[in-house]
Amino acid sequence: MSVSRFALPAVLSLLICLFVAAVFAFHLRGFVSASDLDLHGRTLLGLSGSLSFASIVTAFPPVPYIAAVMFGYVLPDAGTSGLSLLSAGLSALLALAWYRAFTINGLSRWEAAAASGALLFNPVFLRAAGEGIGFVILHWGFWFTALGAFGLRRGERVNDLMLVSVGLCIMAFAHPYGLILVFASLPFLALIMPADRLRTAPVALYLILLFPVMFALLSFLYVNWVFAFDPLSFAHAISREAAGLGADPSGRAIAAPWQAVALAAAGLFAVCPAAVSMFFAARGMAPLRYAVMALFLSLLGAMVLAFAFGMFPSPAVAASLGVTAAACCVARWPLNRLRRVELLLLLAGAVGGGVLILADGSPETERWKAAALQRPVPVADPELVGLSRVLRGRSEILFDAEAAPAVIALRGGPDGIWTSADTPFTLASLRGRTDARMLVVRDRGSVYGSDRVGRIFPDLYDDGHPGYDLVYDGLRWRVYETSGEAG
Amino acid sequence: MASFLSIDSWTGDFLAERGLVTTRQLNEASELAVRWGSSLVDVMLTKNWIAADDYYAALADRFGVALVDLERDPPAPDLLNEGDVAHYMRALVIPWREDGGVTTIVTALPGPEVILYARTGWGENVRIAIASKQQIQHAVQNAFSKRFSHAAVYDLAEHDPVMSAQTVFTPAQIVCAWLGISAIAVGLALAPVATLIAVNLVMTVFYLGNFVFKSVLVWSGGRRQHASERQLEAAVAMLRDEDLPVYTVLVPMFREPDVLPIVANALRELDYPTSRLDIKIVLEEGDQVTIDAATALGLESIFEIVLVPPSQPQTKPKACNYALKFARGEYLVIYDAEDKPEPDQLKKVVVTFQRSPAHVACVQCRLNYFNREENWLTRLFTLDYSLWFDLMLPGLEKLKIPIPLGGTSNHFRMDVLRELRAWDPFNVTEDADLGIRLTQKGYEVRLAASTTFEEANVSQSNWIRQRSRWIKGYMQTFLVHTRRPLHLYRTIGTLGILGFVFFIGGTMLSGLLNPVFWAIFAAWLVTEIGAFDVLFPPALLYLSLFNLLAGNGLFVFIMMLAPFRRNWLSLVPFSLTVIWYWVLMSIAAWKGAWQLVTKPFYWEKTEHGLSKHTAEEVSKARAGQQAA
Repeated sequence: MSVSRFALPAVLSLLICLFVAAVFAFHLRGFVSASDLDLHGRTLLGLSGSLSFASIVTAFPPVPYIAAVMFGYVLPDAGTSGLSLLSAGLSALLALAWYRAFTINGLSRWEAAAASGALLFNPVFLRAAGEGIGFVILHWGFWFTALGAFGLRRGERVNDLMLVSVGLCIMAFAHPYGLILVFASLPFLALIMPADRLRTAPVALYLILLFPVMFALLSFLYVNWVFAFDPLSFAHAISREAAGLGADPSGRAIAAPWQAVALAAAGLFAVCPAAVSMFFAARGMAPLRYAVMALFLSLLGAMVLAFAFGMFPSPAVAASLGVTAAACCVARWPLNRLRRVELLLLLAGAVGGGVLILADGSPETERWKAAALQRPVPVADPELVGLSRVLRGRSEILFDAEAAPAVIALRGGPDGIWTSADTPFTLASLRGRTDARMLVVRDRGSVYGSDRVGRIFPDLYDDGHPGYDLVYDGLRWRVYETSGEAG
Repeated sequence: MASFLSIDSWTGDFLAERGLVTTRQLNEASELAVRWGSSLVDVMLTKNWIAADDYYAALADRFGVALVDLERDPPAPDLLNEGDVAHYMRALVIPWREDGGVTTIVTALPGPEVILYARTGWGENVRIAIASKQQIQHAVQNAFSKRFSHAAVYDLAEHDPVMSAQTVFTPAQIVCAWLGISAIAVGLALAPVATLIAVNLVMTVFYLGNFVFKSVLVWSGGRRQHASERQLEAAVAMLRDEDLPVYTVLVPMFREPDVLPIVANALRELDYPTSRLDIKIVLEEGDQVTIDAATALGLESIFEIVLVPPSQPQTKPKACNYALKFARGEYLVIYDAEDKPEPDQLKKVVVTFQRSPAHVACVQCRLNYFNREENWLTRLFTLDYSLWFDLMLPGLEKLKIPIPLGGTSNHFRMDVLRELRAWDPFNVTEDADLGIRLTQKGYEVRLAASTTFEEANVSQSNWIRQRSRWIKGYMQTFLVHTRRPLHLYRTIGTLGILGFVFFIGGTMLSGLLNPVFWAIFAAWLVTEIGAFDVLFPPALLYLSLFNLLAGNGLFVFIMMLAPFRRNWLSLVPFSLTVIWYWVLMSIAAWKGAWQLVTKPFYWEKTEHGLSKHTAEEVSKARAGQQAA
C-alpha cells in the first residue's frame, strides 16, 4: 500500500531529476547557448550597476531579462549554471503542468506520468531547455494559448479568453520568436473563436484577445520613450544572440537558409504526430479540430515569418513548440475517444524529435549535439572568447559592453570595465579623449556598425589612438592598450 | 400547482347564492385561484368583483358572528403577544377583547384552524368575530409599531454594538489614524524625500496587489461555472411545489411611485406558488405619494403593505428591519422597486440552500441591467456590474472570501437573519456589511446563477449620488470590521483579510487615491520638472509606471471579459473608455468620504424611473396586470 502510494511521486521526481540532470550535464560538458551567454552578460552588467536603469527596463525581451536579474540578485554567484538550472526547472514545472492537465482529462496518474516523461525527454524539448529561459517561457506562453484555444470555441468560460490573451502576451515578451509567433497567429485566431460570436462581434472578440498584447506593446514603447527618449530604442538593441540565432563568428549576420525552415516545418509533423492524429480523432468536434488547425498553422506561419525577417532560430528549437502542442492535444483529447494507444504517439514524437536533432545542422544545435554525445563542444564565438581573455584581470577598460555582453559573461564580470553608464565613459564622450588603459572598439564596417566607443573615436578601429598599442585584432573587434603596458 | 380548497368552494357558492358575484365571475375566479395558488376570495377581492366590506359583512352574517371594525375598536394591547406576530399575520387571527371571562378572537379566515387556535390559547370561553384582512394586518402593525420601530433602529447597536456603524470612528481608530498621520508628518519633517518615497512605495504595492487580486478572482470565478449552473437547473426541475417553503419578499420603497408596477408584475411572474409567498411592500408612513400609488394599483391580496413609522435614521435597512418583524417565511429576499428577478429565482435559491451545508445563511443572486444600451453610462455600469456579479463574486465564493452582498436579490435563512439582528440601519451599504458580518459569525454566503434585472442609472449626477452612498457605506463597513483586527483575522482567515482589504478597502481607496496619482502623472507629463526625479527614483518610477500601465491595462481587460458570458459583446469596445468612469468613481469617492464625516447616516437617494426603458417596462407591467 505504502509502496504504491509513494511509487508515483518517486517516479515523477526521478523523471524531473533526470531531466534537470541531463540539461545540467550538457551545460557542464561545455554547452552554454549563445542566448544564455548574452543574457548572463547583460545580467552581470545590470546587477553591477554598469548598465543604466534605462537600459535594463527597455531591453527586449523583458521577461527573461527581468527574471535573470531577479535570479542573479538572489543568487549572484550562480553564473550561467544558475541560468541553465533555472531553465531546466521551468521546463520541469511545465511538465508537471502537463501531468496535471492529463490527469484532469481522465488519464490515470501512471499514464499521465508516462506521457509527461515522453514529452519531457523529447530531444527537441531538451534542446529548447538548453536554449535558455526565454524560450522555455515562450513554451509556457504557448501552453496557455493552446489550452485556451481548445476551450474558447465552446464560448462558455472567460478563463479560455484569459488563457489565450495572456498566453499571447507572455509569448510576445519572452522571446523575439514569440513576438513573431504572435503575429503569425493573428489570422488563425478566427478559427478558435466561438462561431456565432465571431459572426456578430468579430471586432469585440479580436479586441479582447489582443488587448493585453497590444496594450503591453504600447506600454513598452511608452517606457522606452520615458527612459530612453525613443519609443523604438529596444528594437536597436535586440542582439542576434537574444533572438536565439546563435553567435555570429563571421560577422556577416548570416540568416538561416530556406532548407532550415523546410526542415523545421517537416520536423513539426515529426515531433507532434499527436496533433495530426487528434485532428482525425475529433471528427464531428469542430472546436477541437479548428483549435488543432489554428495551433499548427500558427507554428508553421511563425517559421515562414521568422525566415522572412531573418530571425529564424535553429530548426530543432523552432519545432520544439510542437512538443507543447502535443501535450495540449493530449490534455484536451476528447475523453470518450481517448484510447491509450494515442499515448504512443508521444513516444513517436520523441523519436521524430531525435531524427530532427540529427538532421539539424545549425551551429547551436551542433554544439548541443556535441555536448550530448560527449564530444568536445566548440565555442560559440571564438572572437568573443579571445576578447574576453585579453580583458580578463585588467582594469580601466573603455568598452561598450552592451554591444557584446557575452564578453562580460566569459570574462566573469564587469569589474574594471568602464561602460556607458560610468562617469569616465560619459566624460570620454564629452571630451573626446580618455585616460583609460584599454580601448575596445568594434569595426564600423561590420554589419553591426560602430559601437559607442567607435562613435566617440571614429578612427580608432582603423588607425588606433596616440599612446595606445594594438593588443587584440579580431574580425570585428580590436583592443588597444596604453603603450607602456602593452605586451 | 396550488390546490383549490374546499372552503373556497363553499365560500364561492355562498357568495353566488347571495348574488354578490355572478356565476361567470365565480368560474373565472376559480381558474385564477388555481393558477395563482391563491384563495378564491383573494382573487375576487383583487379583481374588485366584490367589495371587501360586503364580503366580510356577508361572512359574519353567514356564521352568525359579529363584524368588528378594528380601526374604530382596536384590539386590547395586553392580549397581543410579540412572539405570535408571525402567526397573526399568517393565520389572520388575533385576540381582540376580554369581557367577563370571555375572549373574543377576531379573524378574516374563519374555519376549523381558528377554532383550534382559540380553544388552545383561551379554553372554552371564547367568541369568534370577523374583521377584514387589511384591518387585522394594520391592527397588528399598529400595536407593535413603537416597539418594532425602536428595535428596527437599535436592535443591533444594543445587542452587538461593536458590529454597528452607529459609532463612526471608535477612539482606538482615531488614535491609530492620528499616529499614522503624525508618523508621516514627522517623516516629512525629518526626511521628506525618503518619506514620500516610502508612502509612494506602499501605495504602489497596494495598487499592484489590488490588480493581481482582482485578476485572481476573475480567474477563479470562471472555472466550472457552467457545470454548476447546469446542475442547478436540473435540480430545480425536480422540485415539487408542495415541498416549497414559505418565502418572504420584502420590497422597500421610498418616493418611487412610478416603478411600482414593474416589481409588482415581476413578482406575479415568479415561478413559485403564490400561497407560499409572503410579499411585503415596505413604505414609509410619510411617503404618501407611493402609498397612494400602491393603493391605486389595486395590488392583489398576496401583496401586503407595511407602513414604517417615521424615525431616524430614515434608511432602507431600518425599513427592512421593521418589516422583518412581520415576516413569516422560512426564507427572505429583498428586491428593489424596479427589480425584475428571473421567474425561477426563488426555486433556484431554495435548491441552493438545500444543497448547501447548514452554515450557509445567505444566497446572493446576480444583478444586471435591462437598459444597458441606453447611453454610455448605462453601458459602463453594465460592464461594471457584469464584472462584479458574474466574475468577481464567484471568485470570492470559490476562494471562501467574505462576500459583500449586493443591494438586492440577497436571500436569507430567516432564523439566521433574526439571530444576527438583521441589517445595520446606520450603515448605508447594509448589505455589504451584513455579508461580512455573516462570515464573521461563522456563516457563509453562496451565489446562485439567477439574475435580477434593474434600471441602470442614466444620469451621471444621479450615478454619483448612488455611488457616493455605496462608497461611504464601504468606508463604514471597513471601519466597523477593522475595529477588532485580530478577531477579524481569526474569523475570516488570511485570504479573507486579503479579500476584505482589497475588495472593500481597495474599492474605496483606489477611488480616493486615483486623482492624486493622475495629477502627479499629468504634472510630470506636461512639465517634465525635475522635482519628481527626487520623489521617483528610477526603480520606483518604473514600478509606478508598471502599475499605471499594467494595472490600468489589466482593469480594462477584465472589464472587456465581463460581458462575454452573457454574450453582450457590443459593450466590449466601451471598456476602452472606462477612464471617465473612474473619474466619476473618484468624484463619488471623495463625496462619500466627505459625507462620512459630515452626514454619516444620510441616505443619498437614487432616483429611479429616469430611463426611457423604465417607462416601457412600466407600460408592459401595467398591460401584464390588466391581462392577469
